[in-house]
Amino acid sequence: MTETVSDRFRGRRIVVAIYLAVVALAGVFGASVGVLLPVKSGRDIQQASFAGAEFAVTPLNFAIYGVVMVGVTLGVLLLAVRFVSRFDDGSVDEG
Amino acid sequence: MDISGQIVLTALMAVFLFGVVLFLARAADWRTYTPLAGAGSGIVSREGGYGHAEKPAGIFRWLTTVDHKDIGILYGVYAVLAFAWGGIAVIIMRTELITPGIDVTETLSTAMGVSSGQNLYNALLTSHGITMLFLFGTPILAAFSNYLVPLLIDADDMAFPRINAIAFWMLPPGAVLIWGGFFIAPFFDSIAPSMASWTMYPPQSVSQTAQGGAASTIADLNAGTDLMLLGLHLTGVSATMGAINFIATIFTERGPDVGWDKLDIFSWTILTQSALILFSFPLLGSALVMLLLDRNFATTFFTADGGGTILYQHLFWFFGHPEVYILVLPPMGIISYVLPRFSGRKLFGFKFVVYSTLAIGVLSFGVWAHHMFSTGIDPRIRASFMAVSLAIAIPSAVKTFNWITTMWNGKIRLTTPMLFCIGFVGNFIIGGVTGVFLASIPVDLILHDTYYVVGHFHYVIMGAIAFAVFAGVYYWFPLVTGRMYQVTLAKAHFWLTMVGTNLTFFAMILMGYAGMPRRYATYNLITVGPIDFIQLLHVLATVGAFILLVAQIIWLWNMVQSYLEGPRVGPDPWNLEEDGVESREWDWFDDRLETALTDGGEAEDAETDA
Amino acid sequence: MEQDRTIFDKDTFLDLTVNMIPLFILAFFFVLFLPMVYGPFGWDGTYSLLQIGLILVPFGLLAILTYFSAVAIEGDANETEAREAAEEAAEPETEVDADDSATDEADTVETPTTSEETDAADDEA
Repeated sequence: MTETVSDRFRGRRIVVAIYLAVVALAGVFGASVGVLLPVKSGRDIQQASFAGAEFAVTPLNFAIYGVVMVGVTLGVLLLAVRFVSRFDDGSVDEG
Repeated sequence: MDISGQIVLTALMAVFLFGVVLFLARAADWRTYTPLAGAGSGIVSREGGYGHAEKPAGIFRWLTTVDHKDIGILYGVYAVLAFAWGGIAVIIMRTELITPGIDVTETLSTAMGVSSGQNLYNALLTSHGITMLFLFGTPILAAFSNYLVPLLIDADDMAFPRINAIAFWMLPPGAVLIWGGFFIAPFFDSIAPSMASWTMYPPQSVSQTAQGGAASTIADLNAGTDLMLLGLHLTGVSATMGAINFIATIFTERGPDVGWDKLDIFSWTILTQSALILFSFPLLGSALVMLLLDRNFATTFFTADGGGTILYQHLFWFFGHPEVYILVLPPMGIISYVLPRFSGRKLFGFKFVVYSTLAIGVLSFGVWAHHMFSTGIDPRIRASFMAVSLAIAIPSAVKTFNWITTMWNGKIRLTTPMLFCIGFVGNFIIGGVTGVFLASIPVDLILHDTYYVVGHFHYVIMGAIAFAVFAGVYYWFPLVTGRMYQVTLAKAHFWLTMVGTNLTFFAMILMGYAGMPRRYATYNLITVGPIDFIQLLHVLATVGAFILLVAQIIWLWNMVQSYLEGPRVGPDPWNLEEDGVESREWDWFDDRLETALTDGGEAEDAETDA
Repeated sequence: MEQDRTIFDKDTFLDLTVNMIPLFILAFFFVLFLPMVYGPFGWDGTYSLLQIGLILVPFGLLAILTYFSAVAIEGDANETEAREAAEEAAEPETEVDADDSATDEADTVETPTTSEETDAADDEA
């Protein structure tokens, strides 16, 4: 058995898959922090605010915050990659 | 017994030892390493090319070699042994942390001659950190650079082959000294493995006894720490000698058509790394000597009413922060080298990566005090270190951006090395972003000394550096052994490592948010965080650690068995030619194959193993 | 050294933008910390000078290293180009193959649009 994989994936598909995985992970992380922060024996933080908007610290709110925040930040970067890649001389992706 | 009897005994012993030496020299079981089907027989084996025409057979080959490829392999084997030591240490620690109280290490401590479970935990913590950074991290990178740099720059060998060998042979005694406390502890009550942590901050590192308390006289000090400091000093000298050698090699031994414009990215990172070693390890050496003097000769370099403990931290981190980049730059080089090969194209923005490597090299010397934000240094100085710390994030981010763009326009083959490259990029983003937050002073003051920090740097060290090492090991395994590894096991290794890494260190980052302080053997007395939740996270982290253990056992098995029995590969095992991404080291491999075949090497091997 | 082509042409400057961003960040904080500009901290002979020095020294070193590495890399690139041109003129076929493998990464040609890339990287940090 040798490892000369002949299947080829379009690179952008894999990059987008990584992006989605990271954004999902951010959701999980947000939810966990949402569980963690309001506990009385812990940091006991009940309210959070972002850009003036106040919201309660709950797993759902924080999961949404994580997904949106990471999704937008990395999404902008991904758009930047897409833009720059038009001028990439080494491209082997014709699509 | 009279004198003549002793002489006879001595003579007999000498004859016996001579026999042992002869046996070792001739024993066929000391598998004479022949990268390919090279001809080797009797006491001398012949190897083609590169001025190493004759090498002794058997173990003497390995003890006397000055061939950069052999020394690279020695570095690799050494690093894997150290990896195992550090890994076992951390498995014991993680098992201890399943429950809030002290239990597993308490039981083990009596068997290992350490005075208490907490002390054993602290000793393991120290040993894990020092081993992974100095005995695994630096040497495994030296393994790659020794083997590959001369091939990549078209040199005959390193500039100073003998210094190369000396540098390696300083490491085993270094390891014996660093681990020495563990070997001696069962026999003496007054000696324990060092519990000073890898940072060795005074006053603890200057005054600790084997029981963990403060010593009143020099005689009460734990000699295990002295051994560790001396061992570390040896490894520092070794790293410095290696670095000088690489700088000289890359500057003077490049082939006629390898100009600075054609130097490959891996050699660039090794050159930068060597410069960092050259400027930072002497600092560590001086600080270690001062610690030893403070301990044994009552000097006052780091005492509270002498130079002060903060002085030590400045010296240590002036070395310690560049050390981070010493460890991460060559892995970045491996990724920049391997990732494009399986994207079927060349690296996007090659020169960006080169210049950003150099930028990291310079800036890494201007950020050391961001490890000391909470020590009460002047806020003006803190602010400057924060500024440089934020600036140094850019070159790393640029590299990540280039890797992603390379993949974006590529056609990707998901071979095992490529999987590890992709894993590297993912984990490095998490490790890097969590680090940028720590560079901000207010965030650092809240998260300092919590598991958040531990999670952050393990995402980089395990999630990124170790992943790049594995990518390199799989990619060049056929080059070194002439054989292919077992793909199914390799894939299992990747997925288990990926899951284990993220489970363990993700849980640690969360624990940091909960306020769990780092470095403790127990957490039944902590006053922060919901204890149930913290225990759950500890259990998850431990599960992750065991998954990592299983994965590494699979890897080791795969490497050893494939080295012995794997199928022989052809001249281009990765089909690089198909995409036009060939490189110099595989050309060399091709040459070696052809030479071996025309020599009429071990043809039977090639048939039976295929 | 062949100096008929200038070293710091447009392409080289585009390659160097990657190091100009950290330089820019350092310059930004340097100005920000000056007492006459924003200077959130009081002036102190020792610490304020240290503060400024800790930013200016890395700035200077990075600028110097970037300059010399650019000279080394681009200088050798010009030499290679000149040599290859000469070889091609002398005998068109022979050397081409041997060189290919070594140059596959290094001869990446940057396009004039790369400044967007570095802007984006700036965002990431």
